[in-house]
Amino acid sequence: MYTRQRQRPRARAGVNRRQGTLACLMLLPAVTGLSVFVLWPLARSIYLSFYQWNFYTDNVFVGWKNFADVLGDPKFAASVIRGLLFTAMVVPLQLLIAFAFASVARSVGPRMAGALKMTIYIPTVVSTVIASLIFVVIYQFSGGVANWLVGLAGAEPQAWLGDAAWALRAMTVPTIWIGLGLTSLIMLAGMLDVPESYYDSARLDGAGWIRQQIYITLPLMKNVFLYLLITGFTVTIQQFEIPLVMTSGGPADSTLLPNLLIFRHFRYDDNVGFSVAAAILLFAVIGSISALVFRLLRSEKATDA
Amino acid sequence: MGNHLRHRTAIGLGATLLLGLGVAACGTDEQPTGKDGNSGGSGEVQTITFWQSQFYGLEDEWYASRVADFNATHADIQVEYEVIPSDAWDQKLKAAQAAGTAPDVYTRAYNTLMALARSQSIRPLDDLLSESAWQDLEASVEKMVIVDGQHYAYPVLVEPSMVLWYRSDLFEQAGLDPDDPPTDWDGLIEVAERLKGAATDAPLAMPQRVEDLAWSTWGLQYSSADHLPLAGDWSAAQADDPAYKSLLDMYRALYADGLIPPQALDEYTAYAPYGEGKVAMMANGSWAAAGLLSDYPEIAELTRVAKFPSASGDDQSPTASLGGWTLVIDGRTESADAAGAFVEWMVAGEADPLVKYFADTSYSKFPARQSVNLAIGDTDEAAQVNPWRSLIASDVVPYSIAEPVYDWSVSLAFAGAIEAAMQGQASDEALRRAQEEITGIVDQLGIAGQGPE
Repeated sequence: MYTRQRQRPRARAGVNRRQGTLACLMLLPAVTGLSVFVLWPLARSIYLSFYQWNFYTDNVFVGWKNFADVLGDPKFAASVIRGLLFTAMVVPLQLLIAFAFASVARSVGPRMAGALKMTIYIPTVVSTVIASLIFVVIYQFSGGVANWLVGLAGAEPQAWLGDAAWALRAMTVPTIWIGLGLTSLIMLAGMLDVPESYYDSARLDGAGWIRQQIYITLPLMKNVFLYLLITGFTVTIQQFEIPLVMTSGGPADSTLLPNLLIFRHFRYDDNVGFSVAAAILLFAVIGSISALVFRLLRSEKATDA
Repeated sequence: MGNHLRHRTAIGLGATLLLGLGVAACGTDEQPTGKDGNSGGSGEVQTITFWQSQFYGLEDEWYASRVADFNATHADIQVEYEVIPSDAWDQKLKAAQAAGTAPDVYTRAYNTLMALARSQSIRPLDDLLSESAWQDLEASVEKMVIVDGQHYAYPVLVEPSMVLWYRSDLFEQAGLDPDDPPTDWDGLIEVAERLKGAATDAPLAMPQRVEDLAWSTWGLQYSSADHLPLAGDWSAAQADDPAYKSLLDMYRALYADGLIPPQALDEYTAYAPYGEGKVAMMANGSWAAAGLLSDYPEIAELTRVAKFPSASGDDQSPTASLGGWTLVIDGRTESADAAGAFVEWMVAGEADPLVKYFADTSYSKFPARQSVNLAIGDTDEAAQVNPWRSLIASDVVPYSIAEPVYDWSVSLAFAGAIEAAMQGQASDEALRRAQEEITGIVDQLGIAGQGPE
């Protein structure tokens, strides 16, 4: 093999060139789309963030003022911290439930697995707005399902969406519910990639289910977890429709997540410089944390799957 | 190969990025050029767009009917009409403005006019409407559409934002005299305590969500402190006036004692929770009359109205603001003359169609024009249709304040203080935070000294 390669360097280089050209051609549509719909708007937004502007008067250059206004607004910092807290409540629980679901789906027969997958995926195709409205009804103080269940347990009814102590926690349920389908299916796909022979060997060595998960499943699914962690984090911290529909950010700003704050400024401000600067700063926060997670967990090719 | 591919890929990416930036550079920093209004040359049909915020059934029908009549009687101008749900209004309009496709004519509330005028989002109407149209306006209403000496909107109506609606039968069952409604906030709390259990959800419905509190409590804010949280010339926040504590304390007491629902039952303008017997009293605007009369006639029979209690019990202390709707013309319209003709025909021309509008809405609103007021005043029909109208006209409207025209974020900031008090925060602390926030808004927007007073 080695000899044959040494004997055909020119042919090999030609193959490389063709492969490189082909790769570039295949990347071109995605890169074009990315440039037009992401990079250009981003560049334009950064440019506009230095201006005071509305849609009727000439833009006025204001330097860093919009950024200073955003950073000087305690509501922005509070909303980012609240978003991180919300993410910390939603993403780990979502991964845990998805992992449990995928484990069950992997262990049952194909027909049952199909039914389970369909069931878990249904919330994904439900509109977030519709899901939010459903949960508003569920959380109604009088006549809501949540308080009916609480009543069965003998506890006092709660103002799930009217009490600042409960509102953000109440919002985690629909957020997890909506994201669970996709997370579970990706988790299951990663799990099915782990060779069954590893588990057979582990069982022969006397490893129980928990040890199999710790020493086989989790290490081999590290990249899947990394992907789900990053996407779960970025989607959850940017959650917007659920607080908009369920609480409008209240009570007392307890569910005012960063994107809803930005939307509120876009909706009501005469000049939209604040909204654009806030969006760029949020982009920086999310990008930084995502990079940190990548660095800490180190995405590597799975050792053997 | 890896390096080779990365090099090629980098070139590809760079070229594409440059292409993207090049395309972008071909764009322009100029403002969008506006809508494709037809030039309006002789013989051509001009098409203009009209967006109406969604109201209640009969109101929407009136607007639709008027537009249809306009189109039927004007061969040279045709109106494309769209009703926009109120919760989607702001974002839809903002998106249209960004794209240069804002409607030529649209409905707008009074409190937004100054900001829109100063940002040139709407244009003055003085040169588009006839002099007689302006002369017909009630003087107090005309002031509300003038910004820096020019008329920027044509008003359709005014309506007080808050009166007290209550069930006489439930008052009697609780041993209360329906002819003696509460007049101050202590009295309101006392009556609500007596009405506990009278309705399924709570004794009283009040605005509770921040975006409802922001505008519906302007009158109550004035009642508690004799001023609003921002000075008239917008030079300084004055939300930390201890007098505001009475308002926050009232809200805290109502919420903590279960006298208002733990969660808002609906948005403030909704009358259904009251009509369905979920509450025994409700704070709501005069517009609720139309809905109660048409949708809950049996409850309407049992309903009384009173001026909403004031902080001190003074029956002349404002507890409501006078708001309502106007028609404005987009600042970048290319069909200003056609839009002006439409506005004049729609709401500033003959009185009869407007009289029908007020009749359709059960005389729950009040005309902005003298001629329409006169036409309605000449009949007894208004009092027969709407049994509460005369009391609202005599006891509420004259003592209502005009809606403040400062930035909406100021109103949201003070509403946040009320909301925080409901959630248990000490009133001093809530007011201190509102003061800081409003001060920050004044600095950030640079509006000190730009207020109307």
